[in-house]
Amino acid sequence: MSGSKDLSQFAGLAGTALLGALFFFLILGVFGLQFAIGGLLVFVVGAVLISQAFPAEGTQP
Amino acid sequence: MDLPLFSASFLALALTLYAMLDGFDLGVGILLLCQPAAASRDHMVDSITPTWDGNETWIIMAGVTLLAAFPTAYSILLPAFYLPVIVMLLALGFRGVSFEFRVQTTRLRRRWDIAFGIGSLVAAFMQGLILGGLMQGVKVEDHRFAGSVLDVLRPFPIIAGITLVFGYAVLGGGWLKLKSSLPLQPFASRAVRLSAPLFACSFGSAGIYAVNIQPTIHSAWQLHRIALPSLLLLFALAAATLTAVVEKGKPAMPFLLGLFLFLVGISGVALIVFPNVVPFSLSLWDAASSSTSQWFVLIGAAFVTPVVLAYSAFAYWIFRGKTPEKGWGE
Amino acid sequence: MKVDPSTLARIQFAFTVSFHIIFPTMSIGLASFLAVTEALWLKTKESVYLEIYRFWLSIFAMGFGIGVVTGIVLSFEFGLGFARFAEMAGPAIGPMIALEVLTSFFLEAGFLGIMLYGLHRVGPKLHFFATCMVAVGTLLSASWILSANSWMQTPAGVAIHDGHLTVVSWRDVVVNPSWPYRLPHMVTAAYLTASFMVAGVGAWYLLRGKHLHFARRTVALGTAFATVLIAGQVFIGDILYGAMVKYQPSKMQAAEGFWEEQSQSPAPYYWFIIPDQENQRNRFAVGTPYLGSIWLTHSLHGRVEGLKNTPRDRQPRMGMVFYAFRIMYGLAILMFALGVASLWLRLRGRLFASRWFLWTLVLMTPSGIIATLAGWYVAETGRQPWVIYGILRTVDAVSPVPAHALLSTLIGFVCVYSVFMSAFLIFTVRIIRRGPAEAPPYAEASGSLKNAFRPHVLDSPARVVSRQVS
Repeated sequence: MSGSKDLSQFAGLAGTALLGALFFFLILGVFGLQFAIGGLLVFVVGAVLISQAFPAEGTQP
Repeated sequence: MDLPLFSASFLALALTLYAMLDGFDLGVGILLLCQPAAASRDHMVDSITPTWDGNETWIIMAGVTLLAAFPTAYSILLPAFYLPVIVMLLALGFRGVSFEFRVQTTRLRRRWDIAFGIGSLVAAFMQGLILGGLMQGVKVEDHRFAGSVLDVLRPFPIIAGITLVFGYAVLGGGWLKLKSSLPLQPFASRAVRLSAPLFACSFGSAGIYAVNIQPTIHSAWQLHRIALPSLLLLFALAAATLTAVVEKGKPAMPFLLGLFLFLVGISGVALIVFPNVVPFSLSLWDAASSSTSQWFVLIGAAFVTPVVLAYSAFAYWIFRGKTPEKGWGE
Repeated sequence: MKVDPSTLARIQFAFTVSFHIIFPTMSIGLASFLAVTEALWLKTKESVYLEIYRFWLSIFAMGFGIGVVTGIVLSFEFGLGFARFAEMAGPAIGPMIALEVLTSFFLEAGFLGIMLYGLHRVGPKLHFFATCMVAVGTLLSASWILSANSWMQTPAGVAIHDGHLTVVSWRDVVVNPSWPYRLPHMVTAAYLTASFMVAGVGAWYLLRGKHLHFARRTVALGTAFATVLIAGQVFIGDILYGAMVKYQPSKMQAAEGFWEEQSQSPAPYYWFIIPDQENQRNRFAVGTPYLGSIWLTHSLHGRVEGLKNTPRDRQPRMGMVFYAFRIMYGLAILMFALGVASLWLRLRGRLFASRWFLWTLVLMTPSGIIATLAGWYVAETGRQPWVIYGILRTVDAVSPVPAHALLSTLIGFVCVYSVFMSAFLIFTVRIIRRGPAEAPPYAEASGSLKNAFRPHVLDSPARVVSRQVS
């Protein structure tokens, strides 16, 4: 059981890392200025939305 | 509209305000070194706590005005006074840190008091060295400084340094007369009674010495043959009055007379130095930057000076009257 | 030992300016953070925001004070160490520096006192206004100074006759070509610095299991701000990079570690080099293949221009520029990764539970400061051998002061500044140890005039009596 949980955890981690790297390259302008601006906007709006939706309050260390 | 003249006047105003305002708290710092009783030292520091470091504003204003309005003079004078300026800046900064540290501890307070006192003494002496170096004349060739950084370590600037230390001690003593409570009054009176004649004597000797080492000063005395001797007379009278009335008379008298002494002294120096901004070879018009640069500075100064003056006046007013003996209630 | 005066003058200036920049960077960031925190307190009335405000207020005040003192030194040091530069550039940047000083006195005289000491003495709206004005003031000061430094990088609006500069267009002097890019870059760096400082201290408390409410809120705030800011910074940074390739090609050529006029295609991204400036080559170089073309030319096979494109007597030292740039950029990548990680952890509800993440935040507490310093080293060492790019060389700008004087004052600076730094660190650690509940509503050690407006000073019975008596 824990095996598949670890696997899904790892998949989530890997996916996030790839997505993060993609956004990094995007914002850096590797694909051009329009994509950089677009990538920046998507990232920022996404970050704000996630921070609002998941305020992270109340979870114990 | 003589912009350089305006800028130079602002420069002179900033320096005068600095000498009068920071003078007394540097003086109190110097006197701290002569005060053996810890409680009295606390009281002395309490008297300058509310206002001491805002006074340094004025020397900075003078410095940046020099850079913006008289860049040639700035580029000559700063290397010329390289050693005293840096030592002064370090001493002033060190003073600030000592001030913060001393309130955080009781055991080590004496050490920080000494540090504060030494920082004040060194800063005062450096300022005197610079003044003396200016009066001695700065060696300029082709709009560049051509002398040695050690020129300030000649006898005349050293005498000027000592003079200023005594002068600030007079102001410091006068301030303490005004602000301190009964137990400290005898110390304050003694401080004024001792430092005022010392100040007057060293000022006098410096004046005489100056005439001998710098021919331009000699000519200045001949040029202003009424004004300068009158100022000298006023100075002597004020110093004598100060020494005499220190015990009797209103508590504000010694401090006000001290300020008066400084005003007279500064006026004399100004008369001698004008119209040079680098004594004695560069006039303020030669060293001035373009009129747009001058406008920048003057407009900025016109806005900021009233605000700083108002805020300072407010601070002094809130803390008028005697400094409470038990301090400001830690 | 014979070190020449110009090297000593440069070392001295580098030391004092590096020390100085640490503090305004913190001040600019913390001032805005405090404004945001106070706004949140006023809006939500949650007491945790007041706690956060009071906690960071003291640290802000101290940093501000040290920034002022060390800044004063700099305004004299232009002339002390680099008289020829002051003489030449004075007409152009003198007014900007003067205005920066006057702006900060204006704000310090008025609003700083209220902000630091007026929390329960003036109405909340006035206090909030004061906090905002202080934040605005720090931004104004930053923009004047950045304008002056940017003018040194991309001098515009002046005509040169005979070794003298006259200002031809003030607009071009102030809004010079690199300023519009460098200002947002620096301001964002300051905000990132504050975000990581705040998050780092919060993470520390979480790991210790103390002040949990405060800690969770600050970690949440810090990481949220940091995530958004680092994305913006990467964007701005790349745009600035493009601008600097245009205006200061030698700097960017040195920054990437390539020597040949046209590098190989595809170009790697170098992470480690041992440059040999004498022989105009790298003795050793390690990089990621293709990444150089991708990041630097935004294509798969682009060639990067190397330092040999600049004549030898106009080349900056590659080693310094390269490694300063790598440190800054490396930290930026790390910050971005942490930002992404924080989002993922939020999604999983484990932002405060993940110990490796919290430890990384703690270690990253000073990351903004280090990255900012590294960035400034890129800017200043990359501009060499010029002090005014293309107009005045650094060696020609030095004051006629002998080496022994420079050396003794350098030693003096190091000693005294060590005392400043020790004081700052000791007091900050003390504040952190004490924790947010113990934070007073006014700033403590601040080194500023307003010391005396502390409530216990103003309210002391002795003063009340003397108020009545007079």
